[in-house]
Parts: sequence; structure tokens; C-alpha cells
Amino acid sequence: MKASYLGAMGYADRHLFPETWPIPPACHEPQLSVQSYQEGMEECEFAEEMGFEWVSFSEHHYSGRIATGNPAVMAAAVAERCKKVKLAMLGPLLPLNNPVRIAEEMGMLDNISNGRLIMGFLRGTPNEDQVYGVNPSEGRERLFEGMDLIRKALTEEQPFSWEGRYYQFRTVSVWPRPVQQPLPPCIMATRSDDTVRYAAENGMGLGVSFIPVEMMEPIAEKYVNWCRVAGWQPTSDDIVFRGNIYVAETDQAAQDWLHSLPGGQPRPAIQISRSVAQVVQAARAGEEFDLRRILAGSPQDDVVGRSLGLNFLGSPDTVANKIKEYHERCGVGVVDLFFQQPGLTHGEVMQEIELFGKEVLPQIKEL
Amino acid sequence: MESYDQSRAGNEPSIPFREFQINAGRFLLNCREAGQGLPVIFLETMRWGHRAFYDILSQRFHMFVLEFGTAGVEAIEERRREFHQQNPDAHENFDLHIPKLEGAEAAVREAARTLAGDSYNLVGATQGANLALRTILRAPIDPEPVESLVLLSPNAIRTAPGLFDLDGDGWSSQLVADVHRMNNIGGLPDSRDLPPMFLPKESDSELEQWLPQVRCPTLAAFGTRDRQITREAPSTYRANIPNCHVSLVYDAGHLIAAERPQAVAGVVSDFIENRETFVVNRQRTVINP
Repeated sequence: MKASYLGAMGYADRHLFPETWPIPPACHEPQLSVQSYQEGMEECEFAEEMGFEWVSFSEHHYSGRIATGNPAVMAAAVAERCKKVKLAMLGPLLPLNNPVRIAEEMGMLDNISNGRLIMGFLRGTPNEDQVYGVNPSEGRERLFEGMDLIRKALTEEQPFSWEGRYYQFRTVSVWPRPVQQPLPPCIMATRSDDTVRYAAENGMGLGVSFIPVEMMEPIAEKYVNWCRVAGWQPTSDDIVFRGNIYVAETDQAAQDWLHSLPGGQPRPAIQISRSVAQVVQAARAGEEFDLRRILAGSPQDDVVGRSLGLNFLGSPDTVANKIKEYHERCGVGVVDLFFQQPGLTHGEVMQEIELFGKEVLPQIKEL
Repeated sequence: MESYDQSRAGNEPSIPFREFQINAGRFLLNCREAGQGLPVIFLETMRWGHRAFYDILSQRFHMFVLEFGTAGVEAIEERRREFHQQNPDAHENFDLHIPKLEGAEAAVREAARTLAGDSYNLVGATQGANLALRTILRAPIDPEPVESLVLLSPNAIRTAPGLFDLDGDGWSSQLVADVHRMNNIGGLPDSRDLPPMFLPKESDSELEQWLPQVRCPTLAAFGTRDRQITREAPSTYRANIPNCHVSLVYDAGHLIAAERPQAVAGVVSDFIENRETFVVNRQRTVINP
């Protein structure tokens, strides 16, 4: 198994942020922000030193908790600091972006890293449908079309035009082509049947995030079966699980930290207005939504959002055993770990990375 | 996935086509005509479910649809019927018993001149695209009356191995990206109705070598899920024809104009009207002027 460090680049004072997304720019203090990015990149370097084989980046907007609105910019910076790790773009929020631009970024990243790119695509969390004004009901189809376009853009040998449903480009001729031919490895971050199937039918890996092992197991099973039907066998690098982690010297120390958090668990990563959340969910499901019928106005503080919980919590042995369970039950070969839990300082995260590298990685590396 | 374009295309006003026959060479061709504007000669070998596509194009152009291979080649049809009566299961040998395609290119030239005069735009779909390309290359005229050449899913070059499986399911899946869309298209013609003289048995390497001789602005359009060509087919046209643009039509199989008529009609219209400058977007995008 391999470990991946999620380069979240969280703003140092993120624990002081207001509850509700989006986080106002007024919360931003430039010097602290500069320091936060430097510390985040140090964490990536240290993770590489401690034996992590991937560093991942994820697109999130309007929040300093994962402060990588443009993950390609971050990956490029880290590529110059880390010379061995794979750069896993897990990933761009495809429905929000220009797919040709994403293809260009992928091509550049694979070149400046000399073939260390892993491409990933995802649709994004519901709040992010608001960011660039994309209709949530179109997200899934934009995702499918965007993936097809990116793969064509990175593999076609001559300029072409694209007549899509959501995208029309009359000249596409992406430069540079990827170093890894014909394409860098691709991972689809999803849980939905149609996208899992798409991944299997197109030779892509599967990325699943933050759910318990018993929920991931049937998803991975479907994926492997659909791969078999499509005529190929996924390798261990093809099944990736992203999870929250807190590793301490002992189980008791980990529990003590957890209980020190308000409410005894990590706060919800994203809280948005209940009415907005319901409209987004209805739109994504293709359902009508009558705001006036369901809500008689939405108070300012009526927000929704749940804690994602901690997938890996405890001593190195406990964490290693839990990771092994994902491997054995779901075939996970890469575990992508989010260390920057709320309230943790840079120093504490570095300690965790060291502990993980010295005491967890040796237990899972040979799996 | 639903047939998005087709459902919307059904709302387009339909311009009635005038149907008649025209003699060209040894061919008696069915012809349909509608619309006004720049003349467009459209070559097809069968009725592939292009009604919505023709409707859209005929609102902008003077369309002449020439049918090769259906009622237009009566002698072949008659012999095909005789052959099937005598050999109901032997499709693969039928082409050995029929006349070949010689003369079709000259017939296109003759019919086009009769219908459209000294200059026109030449469009072909699937085997009709092969015929359009062969017409340019094998029946050259100086000066070339074709102002723009549009090839929709030509399959004579870089043909996928194993064409054609003429069984029901194989036939359907080779034509459309999603067989469920066939109902929206109005069903597909029977594979037995396709004259074998138009079937590419293997890639025409000689035709490929001649591609640099094409002098008119050319658009070659392919479905991203076309199973009748190899992956490198589109770039072959772009690399070898001097003024060629390749258009990839997302989520369409071989019958791109039937599956995504609005998308294909859009790019074809832009190309015919603007030729190579079709790459410049002139649509206004101002939201609140």
C-alpha cells in the first residue's frame, strides 16, 4: 500500500473561522496566509521524506480550510520542492472549469514533474456549484463531457474542434502533451453507480472519500466487477481512499484530543444555508423545488452540514489496522490522508507525519 | 443518456422537400430539394434518419440531397433482390455479383452542375462522405466548383477492423453510440438495404495517399464514439489535407447527423458560411449591456 499526503494548505487560524461557508475574505491576513502556504509545503516535503509516495491536491473554493482554489498552482509549487512523490490531482472540479484549461494544466504538470502526475476528476461538493455559476442540475453531464474532452485533448495528435452539449471549442490543440503516454493515470473520485461504471469502462481508477469501510465495500466491489466486464483488472494503485486522520502515540491520547474538540468531534467542514442546500440537492437530483412551500423564510443561522468524522483515529497500530481493513475489504491500494484537522498547529501536524511515517507506514507498505 | 438533440430538433419547423429524379451518367438518382441560399449538395447512400438535420440546414441553405444506392441504382437493386432470393444467408459474397462504383464520382459532378451550377458546397455522410472525397480526387475539375467539402463520418480511410457485422445488434451498435436512441431517430434501415458497393471492406490506402491533393477547404467530422474508424482516423485527415479542420462530435457514434443533428448542423453551417474562419466565435456574450 501507498500513503498519500493531502496538501490542503489550510490557513493557520482556520479554527477561528465563522461556521458558515463561504468564509469572508476579511478573515484573511496576508502574512499568516503566506506562512500557512509555506508550512503546508514543508509538510509535503516532510511527508515525502517520511515515505509518503503521493501528495494530493484538491480544488475547493472560498474557504481557507483547504486553501487550494486552483490545485494546479499548488501542485506546480510542490513539484519543485518534492522530487519523488507522485502529484495526484484529486482533483479539479470539472463541471466548474473549462476542460481545455484543465487539460493544459495537466499537460504542464506532467512535464514540469517529469511524468509524476496522476489525474483525477470530480464533481465537487454542493456548495461549490455556486462558485462559478454552474447550474447544479448540469453538473453530472458536464463532468462526463469534460472528462471525454480532456482525454481527447491530451491524446489527439492534430488540432480539432469540439461540438459538445456544454462545451464548444473550434480549435483545440493542447501543448504540452503529457510525458506519460498515452495518458497519465486517471482516477475518478465518486460513489455514484454511473460514474463508477464510467471509470471502469474507461480504464480509470476509483477514488472514494471519507466514508466508513462498510459503505465503501459495495462500491469497490461494483467497480472491480465492471472493470472485469470491461476486460481489465485494476491494480492496487487504482483504488484510492481519502480519509481524515488523527494519529497519536496512544489510543488514549487520540481520544483525549477528540474529546477536547467542541462537541467531541471535528466541526463540519462545510456549513451552508439550509434553503440553499436543499435547492442544490433538488437540482442535482433533477427535482423541482418550491422554496415558498417548504420554508417560510430561512433564518440566517439555519445552516446544514455534518462532520465527516475521523476515518483513522488512534495509535499507530490502531490506524494501521484500520487502513488494512480498507485494503482487505475494498482493495484500497492508496490511502490519501487529511492530517490538518481543526485546531492542530503546523508543529503538531509535522509530529503526526513523522509518527505515521515511522510507525504506520512500515505496517502497511508491504500489503 | 437521452437523445437530447433529437427531442429538441423535433420542434424545428420543417420545410417540405420537393422530391424528383435526375439522370446522371448511368445513375438515376433520387433527389430532394428545399431551402434557399448557398447551394449544398448532400450525398447519402441510404436514408439514415437525417430528417432533423436536413430541416435545420434547409433553413439556411439551398439543399439538394442526392441518394445513391437506394432507388437510384435500380439495376443493382434488382440484382440484389435476385441474389438474396437465391442466397438468403450469403451477404458476404453479394458484392462479387454486382456492378462496381465506377462512374459514381462523375455522376456526382454531373448532377451537381445540373442542380447547382458552377459552384456549390459538397457534403456527404458516412459512405456518402467517402463518395464526396472520391469525387474531389478522382473526378477533378479545374477550377474546382466545390467551395467547401464537408465529410461527416467518412469511413474509407483508417477503417476499423472487422467492418461490417451485419447482424441486428452489431449493425445498430456500429451506427449509433446508444442503441436506445434509434427510436428517436425513427429506426435504422435494414443492413441488407445497404448496397455492398459502398461498404468499405478495408481501409483505402490509395485514397489516403491522395488526400494532399484535396484543394478545397474541408471539414471532417466524427463522433467521439464512432466504432467504424480507428482512433487515428480524424488526425489522418487533418494531417494530410492542406486546409482541413477536424470536428469531434461528443457522444455520437457513426451517424452523427442523426444522433446530434443540432450540433452537427451548427458546425457544418458555420463552416459552409465561413470556411476556415469558422474557428472565430462571433456570438455576442454580453449578459447585461
